[in-house]
Amino acid sequence: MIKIVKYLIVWLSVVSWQIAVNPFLPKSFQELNLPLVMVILFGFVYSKKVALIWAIFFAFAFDLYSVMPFGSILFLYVLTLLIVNGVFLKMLTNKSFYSFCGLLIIASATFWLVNCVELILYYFFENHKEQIALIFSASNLYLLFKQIILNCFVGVILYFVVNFFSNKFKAVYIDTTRN
Amino acid sequence: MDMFFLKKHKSFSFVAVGLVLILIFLHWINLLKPVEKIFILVTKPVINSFYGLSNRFGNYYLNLKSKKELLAENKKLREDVAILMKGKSRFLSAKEENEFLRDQLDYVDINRFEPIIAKVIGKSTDQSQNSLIIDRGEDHGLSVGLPVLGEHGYLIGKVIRTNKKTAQILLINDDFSKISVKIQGLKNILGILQGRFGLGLVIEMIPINQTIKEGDLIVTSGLEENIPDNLIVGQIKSYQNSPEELFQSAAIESLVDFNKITMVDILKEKISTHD
Repeated sequence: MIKIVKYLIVWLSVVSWQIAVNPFLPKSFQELNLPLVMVILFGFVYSKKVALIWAIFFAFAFDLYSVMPFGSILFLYVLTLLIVNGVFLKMLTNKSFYSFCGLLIIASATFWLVNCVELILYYFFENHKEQIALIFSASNLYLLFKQIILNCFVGVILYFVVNFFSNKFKAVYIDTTRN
Repeated sequence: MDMFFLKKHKSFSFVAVGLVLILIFLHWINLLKPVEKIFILVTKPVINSFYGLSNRFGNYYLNLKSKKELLAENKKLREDVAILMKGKSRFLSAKEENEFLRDQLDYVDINRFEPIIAKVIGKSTDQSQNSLIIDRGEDHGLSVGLPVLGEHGYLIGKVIRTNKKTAQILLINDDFSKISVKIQGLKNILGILQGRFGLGLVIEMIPINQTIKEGDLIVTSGLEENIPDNLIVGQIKSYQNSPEELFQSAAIESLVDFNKITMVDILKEKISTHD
């Protein structure tokens, strides 16, 4: 029961942060995607299934407060998670600090790219084709750069916080001399 | 070993995508409505308080950063400008309405509309549109298309989506926003006010033979359903015209800071009891 309450508090805090605080921060900090960082961290610390559950819960809440058709944010998060998981299995084999940073960069870039594809489709069907050219503009690419930096910065802090409180990433020695 | 993990990844992907598709399907057939209601019920108060907190900290940060006197002076000047513009609008509006009355004996009375005050609780997380989330919804009588006013009674947007307890408003500076407006005092000039990438406002398609000047007040035309006429939108900041073009365009400046909207008024038509 306490665990559920803890999870609920974390979920509510992250959702509220993303909807009510993040968009109103000074311009340089608005690109932070805390839910994405959390999903990647949960996938890294626990398992991909845990990450999927968190991704669905986060995205479901965002979809309820979104102008885009229902499901677009769900797809965005889940597809990002699947791609990141695929990369992790194929290319990054250990759970080191560097592979976590690599995953965050890949996750931020994938999220941005999938988001761009969704926006293109949305603008296309809503007949706002002039917006499509702006998606791949230099300023939008600069936003991706900012997002990667911010996500990595917050991700690294969270990584060290988890590392401080748990033994998940610490080296473990098996003492064979003891009975 | 690798193959084993990749196979597992494949089945995991199928499950994940399947879950998303099931959720979309359930939403589509309205079977997910009770769950969505619970989600909104749980999240709304927390989001609301987070927004309040972020605003308080934002103001504190601003106070620290800027000198207090400068802020106070700026605020006072803004209020003075708003009062002057309101006065100008009222004067021009009354004059125009008198003429209109004499001509047709038929006008839209603003008293037909009642304001519903709502608090802004957040912003949509997707980047597709510049929209705000407010804490009033269908239960409070909101419906799609109603005009939304900000500080000093300026038009800031329209309701574009409603839930039971919340609603979303599309700001007028968004590209998707189109509002029929006129230039106050020159009653025949009508144009479409459009947002520009969430940064500014423009009116296009103003006939070239019409004279406009910087500082002209822009108000709603009243041609749209649910939106009464003479709601202040802003004033002309600059305009562009060339003799070979049929139409001219004008950049509009609103006194509302679209990044700091905390309270809004939604105008709803009063239900007449005389009919």
